[in-house]
Amino acid sequence: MTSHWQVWLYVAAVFIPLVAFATGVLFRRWLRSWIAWIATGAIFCSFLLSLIGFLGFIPHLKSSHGESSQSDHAQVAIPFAWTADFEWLDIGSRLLPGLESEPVKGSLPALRIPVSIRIDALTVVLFVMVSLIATLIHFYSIAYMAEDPRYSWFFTYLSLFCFSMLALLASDSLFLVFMTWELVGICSYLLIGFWYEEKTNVQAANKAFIVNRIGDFGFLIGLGVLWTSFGTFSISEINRELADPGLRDAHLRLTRPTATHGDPGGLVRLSSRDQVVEGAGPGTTIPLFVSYSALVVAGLGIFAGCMGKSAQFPLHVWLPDAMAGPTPVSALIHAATMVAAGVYLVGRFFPLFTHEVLLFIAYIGAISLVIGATVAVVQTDYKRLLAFSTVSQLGFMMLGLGVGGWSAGLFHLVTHAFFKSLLFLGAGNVFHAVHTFEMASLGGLRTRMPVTARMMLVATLASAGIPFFSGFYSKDAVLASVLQFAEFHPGHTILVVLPLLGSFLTAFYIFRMWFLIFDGEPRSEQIAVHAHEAPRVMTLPITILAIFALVVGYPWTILPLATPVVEAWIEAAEPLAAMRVSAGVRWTAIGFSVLISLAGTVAATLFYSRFKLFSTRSILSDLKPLRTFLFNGWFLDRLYRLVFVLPVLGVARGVGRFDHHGLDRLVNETARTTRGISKLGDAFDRYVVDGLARGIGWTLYGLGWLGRLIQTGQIRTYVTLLSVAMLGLFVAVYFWIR
Amino acid sequence: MPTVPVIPSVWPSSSEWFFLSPVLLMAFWGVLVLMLDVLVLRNRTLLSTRAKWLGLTSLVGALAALGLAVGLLWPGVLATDVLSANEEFFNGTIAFDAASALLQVVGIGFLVLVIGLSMTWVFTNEQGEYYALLFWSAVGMILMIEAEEFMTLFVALETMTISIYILTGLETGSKRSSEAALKYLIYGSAASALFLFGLSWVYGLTGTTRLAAVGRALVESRTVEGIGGQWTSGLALLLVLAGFGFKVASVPFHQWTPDVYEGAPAPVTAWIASGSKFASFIAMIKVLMLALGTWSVDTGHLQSPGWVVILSILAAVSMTYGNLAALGQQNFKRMLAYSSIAHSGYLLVGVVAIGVSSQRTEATGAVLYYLCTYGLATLGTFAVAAWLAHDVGSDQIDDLNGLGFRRPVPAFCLAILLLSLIGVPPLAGFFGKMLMFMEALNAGGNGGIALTWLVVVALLNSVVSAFYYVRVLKALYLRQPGPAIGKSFPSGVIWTLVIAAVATVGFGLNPTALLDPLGGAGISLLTSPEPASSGRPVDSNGITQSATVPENPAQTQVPVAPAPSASAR
Repeated sequence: MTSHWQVWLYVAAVFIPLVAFATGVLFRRWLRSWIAWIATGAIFCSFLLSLIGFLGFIPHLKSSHGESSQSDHAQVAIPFAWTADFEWLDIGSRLLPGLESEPVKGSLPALRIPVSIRIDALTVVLFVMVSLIATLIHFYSIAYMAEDPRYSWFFTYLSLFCFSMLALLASDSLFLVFMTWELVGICSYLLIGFWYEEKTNVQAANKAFIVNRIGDFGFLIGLGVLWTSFGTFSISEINRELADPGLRDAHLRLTRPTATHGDPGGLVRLSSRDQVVEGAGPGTTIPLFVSYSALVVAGLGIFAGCMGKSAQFPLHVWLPDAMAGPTPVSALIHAATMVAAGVYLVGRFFPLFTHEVLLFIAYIGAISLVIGATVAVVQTDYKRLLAFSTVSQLGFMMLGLGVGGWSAGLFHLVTHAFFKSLLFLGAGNVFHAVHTFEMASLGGLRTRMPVTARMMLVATLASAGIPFFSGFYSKDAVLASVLQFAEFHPGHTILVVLPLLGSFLTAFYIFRMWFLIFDGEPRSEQIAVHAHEAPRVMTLPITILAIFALVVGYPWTILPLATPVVEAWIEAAEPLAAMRVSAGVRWTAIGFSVLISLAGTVAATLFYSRFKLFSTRSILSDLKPLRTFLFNGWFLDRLYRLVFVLPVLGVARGVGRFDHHGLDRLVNETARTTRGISKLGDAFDRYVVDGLARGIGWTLYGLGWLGRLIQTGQIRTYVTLLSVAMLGLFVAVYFWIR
Repeated sequence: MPTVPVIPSVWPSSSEWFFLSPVLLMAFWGVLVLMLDVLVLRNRTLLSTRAKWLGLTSLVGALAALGLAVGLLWPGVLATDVLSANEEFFNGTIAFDAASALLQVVGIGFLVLVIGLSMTWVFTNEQGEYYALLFWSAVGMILMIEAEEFMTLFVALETMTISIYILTGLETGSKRSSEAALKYLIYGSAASALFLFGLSWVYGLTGTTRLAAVGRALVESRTVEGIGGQWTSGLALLLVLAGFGFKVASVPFHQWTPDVYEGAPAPVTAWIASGSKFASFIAMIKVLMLALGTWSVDTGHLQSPGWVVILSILAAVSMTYGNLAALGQQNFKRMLAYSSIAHSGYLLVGVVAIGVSSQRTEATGAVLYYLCTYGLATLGTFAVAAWLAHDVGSDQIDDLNGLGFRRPVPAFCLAILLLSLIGVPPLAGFFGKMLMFMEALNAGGNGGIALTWLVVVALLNSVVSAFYYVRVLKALYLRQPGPAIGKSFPSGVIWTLVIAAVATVGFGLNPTALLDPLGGAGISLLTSPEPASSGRPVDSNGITQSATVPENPAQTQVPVAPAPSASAR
């Protein structure tokens, strides 16, 4: 594989934050608060490099599938990418030049772990997105975290996170993906528990880590299956081997591959790798197959990891609690980047997923999206509301990917990153001003925090999917994919109903939040009096984000006539001609989308704005059980506690008790007996074993001392000894060889 | 019968001079530094200013030589056919092949570090002489690596050694320094005499002084493999080994080591322990493999008479003696001196491995790897010794107490180097030992069993060595800082330490980066040049050792002429 020099741009972009991290760890004491600027500068450098890389990539940002999608059996072009391979570990394949032709007898095959980097259109776009948002959030945090006693640690962790996240995006090796996957997990853990003085924060961090661990368990299984069936860790290589248009078609039709693509015994033929037959003439090959069920298991395993990281049902429970971390962290890690990593990986591994797995992904996404949205509707804590909203939006992305709308799902990832980080940073501004997360005591902040209110409104509109805001375009693309899917497979119409319901609820709850915080009259004078607009350092990043939240979804025409620009870019990296959406379906989706989001908005207006017609109080009291059910996140936390945590704790306690009463007593009695014996042993030890050890030690020292005896410092001794030694050697050798 | 060797006197071509340019530059630069001192600076400036300027000039020269040497390695500078060992440079007295090109870079690299270390403080009034002699000893060292002929080898060795004798005694006002120099000189002269005597025996047996030709002559005339029954060969071998044994400080030719290491100024000690040992081992490998390969061991059983067994015994004794004697030392430099004897023992295991291993080039690569990394580690540790001698005024291990708290960076670097010397993975020292010992076990035939005892001894010795290295670590991190420590750390010391530590960690994590080129150098190191048209004519024995790695004599079945030759009885 050839190396492209552009890869080095990205390698530099990845490693600069690591340098900032190392600087932070090593020189924290000397640099103090300068670390913040170093970290910000570092990620800004990464951003500039990604931007340069992006500009260089523009000529390649053409979708390779647009025209040829119909000719399904033509050889599918591999999307353009900049690649480079590095050898990380290479044990045993070291052969000296000139000796390659002589295999060493009995040598084992080499263990090689190459680390490959692959920069394709998706990576390029996400690099710019991640580094841009991270830069803005770093900048924002300089003011937000200013009074924190662990200010420099905060930025050090952020740098480590940036490094791991960017490395995750750039890597093409599963091994590296797993490493960085765990690294971002660690950063998330460290930052959720950043204020570890409070016990709840620590518990939240632990919860996030443990729940992710459950997903990673599956991930590891998937990794192992892939390694055994493909013998490589390279994602693009695995994808290339599965890049069979027929196989993909079979997946999209929800059927197993036909006999031409895999034999009836449940095997899938690897398309690009045929085994060279040893000893036969050149070019003699036999095809390699991989078992279909192995693909299913690997796909489910990988997706389990993604479920954990991207907070999908049933592993989403950690995300709302993760809001215990500082708000910029929530914006960066738990809204824009890390949680999207799961979606990203599903996108990366798309060719691997068989139709069962894809359907599973779609349903999980749909369920998560409804759960998240319904729970968000009744939240009173605006940060928790945003967290559930994130779950719901991530579900949206997963659903898009699951039904085959590859670029739609990933496009939604990009738009969501902008508007959701904006919402979080805005929420951070609000918290900075009022020091509470409870919406019940807020209201009317519009006049006191005009910039924040306006920018939040942009994000709210985008989030609700109002036309001409970025969220509209991406949500529309996902809906279109879903509709198309349902048209092909009418049995799965529920997959259309759920996102529509979700869209409605999204528009409703997000406007509810905005109205409750900014609209109407202040519900608590005491709080409103102290409220003030955030400093410029904090409003500037959200202003920039607002611009992106507005425009990032635009097609060239702004009107939804063509494919949005960013989606078209992402499409250039599409692994295989995924599902195409017909124009009719697209317009239907737009119609639905506009209607639904407007309906949600209007409903929220009628309930919560100053123009409200209905009082929520009476409705809420009528629906109290439902509200409690939703408010507590469908009682999933309690369910888990009952089904998993308590039994585990119970078993643990039981084991503990058994240890205490059964084993310990046994141990104690044994100990008493042993003590008697050990007294004897002690004597033995002291006089015999120690004596022996000491004896050896003293003997060694004594020998050394003896040896040094001949080191008299007298040159005549030395020369004499030299002569004696030579003479001795002569005599010995003479008699020996005689 | 021995014939008088005819060395053709062809004036070397310009390209041949070009290959020698780093060496020539250093030889010239020595003169330049000396002249600069004598004619310009002396009696006009303060000693410290003089030292600074001379040091800087020398550093520039050494860096220039390093640049030249690296430049010669640059792809395309030397045509590949020129670099192959077929060519004979300087009438076949000097090999300029991939091995020389690479190894001289390492040697000059050591020189740069030693010069940097020498600049940290002024320990002698004879600054010009000091740097000039450093250069000239480096010249001798590199020529010794490149020598393909006994006379060249001996002259180069003496150039290096005599320069180092003087360097040892250069410390102004230190009695120990002069005493050490005198001891070194007397002991060294005796050893050189034995060595030269041994060479003359070899010449007498073969009639030539060229390594390859000696090797061929011995192959032709042999009746047995090894030295069984040939007391003349045994005598010659022992005498040659005595010379090398002195240079690499192996028992029983080691006795100068502790006194000289302790008495010499620390940078000179570092130079002796790194550069001199480096060159001597390479020359030893070349002589033993290229010229005296026939005397290594008898086919099949490794206990038969030959240098493999002799060296195995010397290796075992050196390791054991060095480590045991180091255990009780309180003086840091003396401890390092004994540890250096022990490391010579490990390296001799590597040399034995080259003699018996079925993968010679790998074994050679392993020894070269160990030499490079050990040289760096030694430079680093002696840098600390230099600092102790200068800053604290004494060089006891106790003077390092609590350094880990006062000066974390140098202490950490020193700790890494010591751990590498013990052989803790994943540092470079571990891989060096592992590869050498592995190759010693990798002997073809039934040899694996025979050499196991040696590897076991070596491993046990590694355990013993941990004790005295860990004592230093304990002083660094577990003791309360003494009053004298940590005042200042000259930048030369820090640089040396950091470079050595970084290299130790780097080459430990990625050993192939160093092993691959050194393994490649191993190939050309073990390759003898084409038989010269003018040397001893080659008969039609069918033995062509050119351009291929020589086969293991233990595995090669060369038809041996039954006719008694001149060397047998």
